[in-house]
Amino acid sequence: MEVESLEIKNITKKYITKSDEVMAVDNVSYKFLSGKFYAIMGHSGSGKSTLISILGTLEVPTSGSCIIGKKDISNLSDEKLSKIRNKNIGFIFQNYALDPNLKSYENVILPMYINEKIKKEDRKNKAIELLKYVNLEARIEHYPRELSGGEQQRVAIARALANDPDIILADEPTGNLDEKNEEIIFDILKKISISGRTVIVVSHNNNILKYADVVLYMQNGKLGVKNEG
Amino acid sequence: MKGNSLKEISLKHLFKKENALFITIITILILIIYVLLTISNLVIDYYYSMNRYNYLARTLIVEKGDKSEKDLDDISNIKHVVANVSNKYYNEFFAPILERDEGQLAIGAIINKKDLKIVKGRSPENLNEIVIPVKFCPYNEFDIEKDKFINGNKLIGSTFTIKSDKSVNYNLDHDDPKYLEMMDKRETVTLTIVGTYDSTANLVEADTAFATIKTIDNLKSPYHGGHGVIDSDGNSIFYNDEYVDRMIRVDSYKNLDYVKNELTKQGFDFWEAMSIDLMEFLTILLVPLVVSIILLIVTFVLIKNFINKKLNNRHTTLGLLKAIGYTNKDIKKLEFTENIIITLFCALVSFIIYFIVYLVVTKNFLAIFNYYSFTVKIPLFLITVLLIFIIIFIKVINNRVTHNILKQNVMQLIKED
Ligand SMILES: Nc1ncnc2c1ncn2[C@@H]1O[C@H](COP(=O)(O)OP(=O)(O)OP(=O)(O)O)[C@@H](O)[C@H]1O
Ligand SMILES: [Mg+2]
Repeated sequence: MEVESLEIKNITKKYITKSDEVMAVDNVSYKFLSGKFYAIMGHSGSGKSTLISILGTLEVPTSGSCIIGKKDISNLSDEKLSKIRNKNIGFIFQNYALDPNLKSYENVILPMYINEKIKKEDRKNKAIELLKYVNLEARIEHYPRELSGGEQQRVAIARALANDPDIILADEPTGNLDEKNEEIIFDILKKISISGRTVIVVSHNNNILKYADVVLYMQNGKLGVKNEG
Repeated sequence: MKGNSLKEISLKHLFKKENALFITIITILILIIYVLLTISNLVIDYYYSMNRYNYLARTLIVEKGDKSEKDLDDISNIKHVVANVSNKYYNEFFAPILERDEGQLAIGAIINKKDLKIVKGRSPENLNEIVIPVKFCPYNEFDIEKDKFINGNKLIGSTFTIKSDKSVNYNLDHDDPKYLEMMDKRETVTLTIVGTYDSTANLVEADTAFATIKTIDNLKSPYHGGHGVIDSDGNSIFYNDEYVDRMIRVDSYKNLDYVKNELTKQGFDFWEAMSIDLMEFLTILLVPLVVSIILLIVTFVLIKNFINKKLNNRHTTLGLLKAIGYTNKDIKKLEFTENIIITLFCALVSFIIYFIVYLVVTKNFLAIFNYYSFTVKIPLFLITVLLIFIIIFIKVINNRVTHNILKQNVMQLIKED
């Protein structure tokens, strides 16, 4: 069963700086389906992060439209976009972006604070469940500095799953990790996609090809499909 | 976003080692500002209390000059003049209390009954009756200690014995045998305490009792305040200006100018029994005020740098909050909560230290203020204004810095560390 979770139509993103104009994303259209693992590859500067930002509603495209679920999110207010990010999208970053002052489970709770659907008393249990899901039940009370890079990234994945989003966006999630940890992370991301979510992962690394259902390629802001499996 | 959750997150960020220095410095600065505000407040309070509430501030001394006694008597007809008596009642009569070692009593004349606020008992009516302050300290101002204050109410009905100067000729040389004999033969007078009055309303010294004019006449030597002069024939004669000038009292401070105008119109020379020079007062006030403003500016600069540094060290966290669905408003609120908690914590700690110091100092070292029936007050109004200023400042700085950070590309913010 293939359900469309995210669609972009004729997306263009132009960065205008004092010295020049950069067409970071150039007229890109694509439909992402739930339950699939997408890999986005491409050279540095080809526009991968920019595309992820647009998919994640962090950047507004210069032109084109973006449809999440069945909603066109172009022209929505900061407040509405924030709500979509909170409920429908989970982000994973190369540097994990954990709050160093919060314990693992507290980092996972962070997105739940502003989700009125999760009751206050359920938050911690839910966070612990998610940490178990990424095999970190032994690190629940640890601070980020007490965790290895791979473990930190798994906390970040648990956090991305906090509000049960349909879409997981990961920008080079294994960029700082060794091969063994990379496999662990990709395995988890794969598991997440199999559970029915759309997982979109930007990576430089060919190892991802083993996991990806679809491999997309970016070049000079244009998106191409390399392999649709 | 619910306030509770905000505080929960904020508190996790707060009391960390890197904030300890900031907390310490701000606490000390705010503490010093509290103290300076207390001093400023004290100066202002003292100025206004002295000028407005002390009856001396509405007392004028009118010189006799070439005016007739009738002219002087007619001053009573000026509107708002409530007393018009000889100037000999201006100075209190000082006498050692015979029952008390080093005890001293100053006795003032009641020239206008309304000037005294009776707390317990009644006002003196008969000869040798006195009222004393509720917080009574029958000692010379150079001898004050906190345990010398007595509850005046408990003394009502009891008596003090002093010596009257009535028969002493102060115009004689102090080694004149006649003078020494007079001193020896001074009459003993027993004063009965019939009530207490509120000395704080008038800012009268705590050793001051009040009695009727008749009682004062019975105590004071007619030569008191006089001095010898040489007349045109070369003879030494006694001259006492206290007895020829008049002391008049106005019903309230706000009518003082009116009465002064009338006196000037009628050609009288006069002077105010007590007034503090406004310029002098402003100079005294300026010092603590200017220093506290400078310290406040320093505090503001430190708070600004602290917020700036803290937020700019947290690009990743701020970007992340944005990515996981916090609105700009949420993030501003979150950071504001954090900054305000930390600063108000400093303000609270300062206040606790300040309050303890206040209690210790006022109870133990400021007996002299109590002696002058003056209380050092905690400047709650100024402190409130100060805190409101700080809160507004933090709000503005916090929102500006957060806004500038959140303007940037979120992905880029998260990448930075
Ligand atoms: N905020 C910005 N302002 C101006 N130009 C930008 C901005 N963000 C990205 N760009 C430019 O847009 C282009 C695409 O950048 P992007 O970060 O999307 O590339 P990328 O494929 O993610 O590269 P990398 O693999 O190095 O992360 C680059 O040329 C970059 O310089
Ligand atoms: Mg990138």
